[in-house]
Amino acid sequence: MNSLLLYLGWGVIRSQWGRFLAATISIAIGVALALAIHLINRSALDEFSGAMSTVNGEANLQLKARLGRLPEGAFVEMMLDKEVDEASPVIEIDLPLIDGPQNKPKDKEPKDKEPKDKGLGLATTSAPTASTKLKVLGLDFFRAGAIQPTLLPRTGFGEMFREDSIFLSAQTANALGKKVGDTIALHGRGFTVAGLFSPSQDRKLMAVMDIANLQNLLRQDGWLGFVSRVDLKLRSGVATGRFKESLALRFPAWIALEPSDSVQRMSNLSRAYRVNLNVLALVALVSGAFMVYATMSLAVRRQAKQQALLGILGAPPSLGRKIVLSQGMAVGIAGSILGILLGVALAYTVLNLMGGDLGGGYFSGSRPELSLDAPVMLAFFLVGVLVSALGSLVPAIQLSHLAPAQAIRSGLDQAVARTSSKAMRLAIPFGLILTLLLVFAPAWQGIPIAAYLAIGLLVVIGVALVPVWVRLASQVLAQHDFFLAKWPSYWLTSQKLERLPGNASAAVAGIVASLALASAMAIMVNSFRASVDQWLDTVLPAELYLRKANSVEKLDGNVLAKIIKIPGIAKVEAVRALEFSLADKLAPITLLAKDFDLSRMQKYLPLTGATPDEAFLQKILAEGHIPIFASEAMQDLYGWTVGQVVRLPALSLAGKEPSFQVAGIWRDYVRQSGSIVMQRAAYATLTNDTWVDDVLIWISPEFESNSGRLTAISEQLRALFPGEPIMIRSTQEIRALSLAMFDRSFALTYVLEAVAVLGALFGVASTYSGEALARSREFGMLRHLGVTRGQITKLFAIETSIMLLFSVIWALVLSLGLAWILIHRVNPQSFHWTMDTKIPMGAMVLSGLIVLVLGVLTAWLATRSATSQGPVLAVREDW
Amino acid sequence: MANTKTPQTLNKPMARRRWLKRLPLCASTLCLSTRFSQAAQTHFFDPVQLGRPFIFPRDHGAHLNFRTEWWYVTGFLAPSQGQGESLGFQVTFFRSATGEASTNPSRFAATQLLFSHAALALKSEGKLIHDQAAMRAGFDRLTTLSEQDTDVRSMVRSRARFIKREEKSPGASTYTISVHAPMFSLDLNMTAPTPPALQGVMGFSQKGPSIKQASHYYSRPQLQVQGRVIVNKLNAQNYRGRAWMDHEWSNEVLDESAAGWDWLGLNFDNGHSLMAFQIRPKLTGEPIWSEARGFNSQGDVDFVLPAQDQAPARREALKFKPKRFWRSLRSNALYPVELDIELQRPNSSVKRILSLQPLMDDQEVDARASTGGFYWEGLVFVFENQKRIGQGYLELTGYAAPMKL
Repeated sequence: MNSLLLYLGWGVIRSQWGRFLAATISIAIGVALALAIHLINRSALDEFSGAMSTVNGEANLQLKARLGRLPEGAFVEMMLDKEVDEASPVIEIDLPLIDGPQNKPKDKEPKDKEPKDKGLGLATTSAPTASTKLKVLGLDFFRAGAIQPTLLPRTGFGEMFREDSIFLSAQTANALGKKVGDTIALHGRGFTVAGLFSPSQDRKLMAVMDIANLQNLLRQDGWLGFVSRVDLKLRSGVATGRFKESLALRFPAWIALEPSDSVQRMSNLSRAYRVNLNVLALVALVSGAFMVYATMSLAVRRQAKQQALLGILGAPPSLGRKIVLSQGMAVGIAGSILGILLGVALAYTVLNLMGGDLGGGYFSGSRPELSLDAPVMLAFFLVGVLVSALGSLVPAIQLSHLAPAQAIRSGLDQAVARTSSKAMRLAIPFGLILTLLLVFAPAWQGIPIAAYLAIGLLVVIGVALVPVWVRLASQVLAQHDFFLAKWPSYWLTSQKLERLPGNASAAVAGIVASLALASAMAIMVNSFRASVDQWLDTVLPAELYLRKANSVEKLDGNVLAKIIKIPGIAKVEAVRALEFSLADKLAPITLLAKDFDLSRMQKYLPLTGATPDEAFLQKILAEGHIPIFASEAMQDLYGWTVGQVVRLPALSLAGKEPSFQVAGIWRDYVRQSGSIVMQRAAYATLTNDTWVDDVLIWISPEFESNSGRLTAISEQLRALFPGEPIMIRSTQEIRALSLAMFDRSFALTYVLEAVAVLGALFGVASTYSGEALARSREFGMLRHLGVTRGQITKLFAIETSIMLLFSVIWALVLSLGLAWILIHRVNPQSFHWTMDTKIPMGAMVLSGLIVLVLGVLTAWLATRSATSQGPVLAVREDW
Repeated sequence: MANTKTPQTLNKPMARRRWLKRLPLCASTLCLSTRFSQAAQTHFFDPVQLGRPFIFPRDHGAHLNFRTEWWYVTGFLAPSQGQGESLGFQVTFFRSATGEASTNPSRFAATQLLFSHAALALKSEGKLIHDQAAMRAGFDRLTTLSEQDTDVRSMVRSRARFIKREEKSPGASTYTISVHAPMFSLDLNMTAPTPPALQGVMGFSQKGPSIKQASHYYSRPQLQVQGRVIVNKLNAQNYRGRAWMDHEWSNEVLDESAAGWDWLGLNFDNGHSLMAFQIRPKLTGEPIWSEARGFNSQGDVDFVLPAQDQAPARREALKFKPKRFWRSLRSNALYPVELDIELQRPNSSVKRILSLQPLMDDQEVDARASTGGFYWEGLVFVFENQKRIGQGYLELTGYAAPMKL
């Protein structure tokens, strides 16, 4: 029995090896893309966690300030704490690496150094990919010994504490081509590489130096007296949780985090993006599934008569089903194995050529090693096999419903047509209800799983509905006598489509699915881009933006008074941006203290929903609360609502516990972990912090159009900061930069879409050539009736065009629904921001036309070769 | 394994003589040779000078303008009552001025480093139990380095580790020391029966042929100790005994041709005491420098051997004669753990032979990770004519593999 199965199954594959190969490859491409994306992301995350564990060492807890930097007194407190075994103060900072002893022209602005613009809320979460940053850790080597042993340089004390000593990780020294004794320029001064250390895992550029020397180096930026954090090793027997609680009571402005939290945060933050990419990659796999479906359907039709004969000879009905399913499985297994090999190779290549960031910016600058993940590879293998098996399931069921006596004469076509549509009638409404339920289901752990399932289901329903539409449409066509009289081939086509819509749907299923998904993504990206564009208008109100070229530094608030004195400058405002933690497991939120007029809020912030009215604001102030504006992420992640009174422990100073009231919700496309905007004056009163990160400058109208005067202004601005690297950017520059970054983060999306559509076109070629072959008997009959070969080709082309036109239109209609889910469910659930729908009509019509033309072309070419057989030979098949 | 080893790198104890050798050499060769990239912030230390008067109590305190300084206490303790195991102890506070960062306004600035090391020698343990800690001075709540009097303190695991001098009555010094380590703790009171015993010429102690190779150095022999010692193994808690304290500060001491150093400080039962050292050459041969100085029970100098000029003929007056060697399985070093000290006083034909017997053979300290080697420092008993006449501490350095610089 098994050998018979093998014999029959293999025979079919061998006779149609080209199509089976195509199906195998399309499965392989789907698996390869999804796996490669997963592996790249995972490698990047692994590297991040490795870097974290190197830096964190064996710390039980990390003490940080809830807001900004930690006063170094915290180190003293921890050293004196009876429950602390060792406390290691750390300054961790990324400094731009200036190679060579500052021989670069100073007046040249480091344009692409720091496009990330926290203060203004520009651009996306991306950082520059050209990594010129060196992570510098300032350590007290005596304290770090017990906690970060791998970061200790192997040198004597003399070198350790010398003012110009810096220690590089072995990997960094390699990457920079430096050896012990070489000099390195950093933050405007020269350092000597005094030794090396070898952290086990980190591949980022990393250096270590004495904490006092780093404080001194950064003293202009106010680091004297502060550290980034204090890493703690607790005494044995001290419960971490209880210690954290008592610490929170004693020092409310500080927060102790478990080191694993930062990896968890990174994982949480980037998860939605990573899952989105994976889902997109799986779209290619969906194309593959339809390819298998099309191939198997054809194979079944060609095998139908053999199967029927076997049935008559006494073979059980399950035999045919088994043969088809095992053929599908064979395609799946071969495709998945190939796909996994391809995926690993692709991931390896991308990691080595481009690094670990796929455009999202979460892992920018990382160069991870490929970390293979056996369970996930197995899972992708199984998904590939499963998808392929599913693709062959429908044809297999059709075959097992075969009435042998009928099938042996006329093949599968008539025998199956009725049974499948009956089942459909029940399944489709049920599927639609399920889809609706899934659409409105909440996200699971920050991943819009239900929404993705809804998208998948909707695609399947859409494909299943194709024969229904085809029949309806061809009925309409068939009623138009005008066409019928003038164009007999047209009549033949409509008759054919009306009677056998199932065949047609097999051919175009892949096109409908992939085009619908690709078009939905395009609508979403277009909406997103348009929204970002509009959003930039509001968040970039001024003409010029000034900040320190080095992102780690801030500006003295007193400089504002000097700037406004420059002739031609009409108005100056400033932003102070700080990150702080509200919850252990969530990434820190950003506080933006801006200069703005409360009553004209909507001019300063892209508010969503109603603009708070005067009375509401007055009431907030009268009740002694400080009005704040929360980003949409604050709603989603922390459940904040308008009118809610909240407390921010980070802003609680001893004795004062200010309360804040959410006055409005604003849209923030930069900080997906959440942000809060408040008035800078209120912030300064609370914290005495008058530093600023960004200065917004408005130019007087009469100066604005004069480029000479603009240059003069920017020169005068620079003159205010002698010797300090200052970055001045115009609104246009920032806008262009932000949009470029937006496009980069979606570049991979476009590639994946293109692969999916190409795969579907591939499917069209394969299906129609098969279709033409399968119908050679029909064509042969037509030849006998006097229809020429050219006419048959034309007939087939018309049939194809009508079918493809249906599919394209249907796919585009379907994509509207899918896009709605992407825009209103997937995005808010993944990234906590909303956007306004904007449909790219032109692009959609154009891409539909391209698919149509390419599809017809491939079908036509395929038919020509299929009908080259002589009519006698073709009809002889009818034995 | 590698990870668990490295943490101790910086906290390893240092034999005082190793310490002497290391820092100056680092300063003179390695540090200076790489200091090319910028104008060196040369830090000038105060010179060690012959004839510098000692002014107490100020000179009990720290001398921050010298590179290296230590308060080094070694002693012998026996249970106050009843039977129990007696033990040796060593508590040291090292101060090191790095010569760096003197202009750095950071409170972390590593201008002054403070190391503390404590070790207990228990025969039942078979080897030393010890603990050490390193701190940078700068935070008042974490370290103290008084320039007024002996008051050195370092917060280690939230407990203060300290040595402090007080005067209950004028001229009567009492020292308190406290060390709380995971394995043991010491809280001792020590009373000095005599005024500080100045070593060398009025406290100017030469260690080599060059006048620069010298330190300011005084000792407190015959300290009467009582206090508490807690070690898991011991059932007694209250102890009595005698100790020896050295307070020494310097910049550059050891001659470059030196391989190591043997030092001893002995308290005799009759109230007398003896300090002796010899600096051994890298190649075999006569010691580069040696000295022995005896004090009587009033703390006055009894004898000095040999005389200041170290003339070969007079060197015969002081001999360190190894009697028995012990080979360490850790370092493969061969230590002369039993020594005879031969002393011939000037104008006397009598040669005294003091035989030193260690409490146990293995009193080796592993300082590979920090100073690049091993040394031996332990409690010894003194015998003369087969009669035990006192006890003290012996330190033997430079016996393991050649030191890496």
